[in-house]
Amino acid sequence: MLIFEVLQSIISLESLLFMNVGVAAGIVIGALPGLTPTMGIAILLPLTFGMAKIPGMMLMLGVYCGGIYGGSITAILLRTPGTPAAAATAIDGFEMARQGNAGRALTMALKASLVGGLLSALSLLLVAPQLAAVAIRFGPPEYFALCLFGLTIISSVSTNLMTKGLLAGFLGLFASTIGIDPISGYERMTFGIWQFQIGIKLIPALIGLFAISELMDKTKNIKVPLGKMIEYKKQLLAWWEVLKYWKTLLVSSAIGIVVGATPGTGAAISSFLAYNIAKTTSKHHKIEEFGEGCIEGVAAAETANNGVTGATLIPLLTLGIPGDSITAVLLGALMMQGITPGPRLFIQQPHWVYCVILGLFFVNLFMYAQGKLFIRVFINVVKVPAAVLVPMLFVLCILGSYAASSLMFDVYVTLAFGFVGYILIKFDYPVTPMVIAIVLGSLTESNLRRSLIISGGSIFIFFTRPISLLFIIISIITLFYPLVKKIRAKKVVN
Amino acid sequence: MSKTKGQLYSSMVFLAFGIFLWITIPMYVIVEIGKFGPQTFPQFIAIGMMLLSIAQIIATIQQIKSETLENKAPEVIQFELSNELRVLIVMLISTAYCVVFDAIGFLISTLVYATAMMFYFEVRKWRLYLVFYVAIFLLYILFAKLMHVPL
Repeated sequence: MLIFEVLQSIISLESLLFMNVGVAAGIVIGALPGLTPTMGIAILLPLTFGMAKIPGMMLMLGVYCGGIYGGSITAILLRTPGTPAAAATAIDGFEMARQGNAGRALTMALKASLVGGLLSALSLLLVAPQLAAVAIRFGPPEYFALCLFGLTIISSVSTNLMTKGLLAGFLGLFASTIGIDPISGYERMTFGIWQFQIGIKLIPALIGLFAISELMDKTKNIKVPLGKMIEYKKQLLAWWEVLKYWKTLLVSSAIGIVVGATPGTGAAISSFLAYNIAKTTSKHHKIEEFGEGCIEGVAAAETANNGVTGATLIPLLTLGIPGDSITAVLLGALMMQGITPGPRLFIQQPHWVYCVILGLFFVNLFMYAQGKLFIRVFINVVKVPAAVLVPMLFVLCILGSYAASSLMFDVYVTLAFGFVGYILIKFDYPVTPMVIAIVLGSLTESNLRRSLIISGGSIFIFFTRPISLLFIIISIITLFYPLVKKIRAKKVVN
Repeated sequence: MSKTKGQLYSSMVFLAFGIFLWITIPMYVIVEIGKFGPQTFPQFIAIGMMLLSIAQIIATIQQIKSETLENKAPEVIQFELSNELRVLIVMLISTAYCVVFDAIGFLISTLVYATAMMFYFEVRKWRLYLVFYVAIFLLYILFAKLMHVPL
């Protein structure tokens, strides 16, 4: 029976150990302001080289879920959210802490995160196999249209100015063309550097864009001390006090799941959306109480941000399309282990897929256990000065990019991408579209060219197949909607 | 520097990069004339980059004009010379570390790098140095001995 084999793999000592290591590392990284779970996964990715597939993935999932929850610790005690996803938690969480209820706020954040995380894992279990069953019928035209959709939606929603997102995306597409052409096998855009013949490797690019660029930015404020933390005192918050807000927990989880499954969004959007809905629909608290230390506000924000964790894996596992920066890095981790996500994965490696899905339930439970038992330890680790942490993380990045293939060239690629990422962020260009384009570039091109080979060079193949046509229409709407909106707004002004 | 000016200059850099790509494609790709070959996707990227950056340049010039007409104070890109200098120095130290790592291996180069970085960041507590050194040894054991990465 598959279920017993899956449980046997998850409950092995190795998987449980790395799950917990991942959760602990994730909580610490998430709690540190300026360090995100994306960066945490990028840095810890090289540790999975020598590991078996399942414990490696458990480590990554642990960092992911722990990182999203960890952001709430500094949001509540310091009013500085560890991650953007915890920004909504800071509104009421910090006020509660100031009123002497830090323990209750942190417990609510932990319990709400658990509820959101478990429901999101359940959504992954229920939806992913169904979607994979549909996607298995996709051919090259549908895949090309899907990639096009993924690239346009992420470029358009990740920044205020769509052209900036698209330009960053084009830069990523260019990086994906370096190396061997996927169809003809000819060498391409290597600029005479032989190391480029195998292309830009994903891991050095990811570590550079997500970790080195963030660390470079962090060095600017390295001498600025972390603000004064409010002292944590253990306070009880029974489950019945949490479940009193069952409606908010369910609605916020649903928001997290829908937002998480939509490419180009993320935990920060879902938590603010859920917070605002809880604020306007609450039966327990008046609207004025929100922002003044209302525990329901913490519940809504934390349920919703952990509610995305399972849902973001739906497009990744079923279609092979990363919806945000975290899943782009996770895709890198999978590729490194020789796993190609997509609908075929559910047929070829069902054991691995269900280990990931069920493993997510365990990861959430361990996140809860660690949050309950070691909260004081995590708070103390956060106090380690950035002047020590930043060089340590730099060493991990360098070591990680080197360990992938034992080539110093990859380390220089990491530094170069780090520099590019830093400059892009400085000038308000989003980095996520670039990463997604590096990931999807080769897939997009090879499916486009395969489709044209099938159709004998006619582009009508993309418009005569309903699913492909649907994705192309959505992509066109995504691209031109902001322009139409701008023209309409001008007409109204005139 | 104002954000709009930064946008203008960055768009120009993208335009220049698009032109550079367009020119270099025939040099670094085997062109299959009249076919959707290895050159087509890079050409599409170069054209896309050029068109988008031109559109962004036009939009930014209009924005600068309207800001001047309305006498609006433009948003500014955060740029403090001392901060940027620190980033540059850290990158230089890190690049030097990579070169030394390549020449003499991980352990000694990382110990020197850690000391240099922490000293530069004005860490003066010897215990923190000790914590870092222990972490380096643990990383060495993990990667070199357990994961068999040649360090």
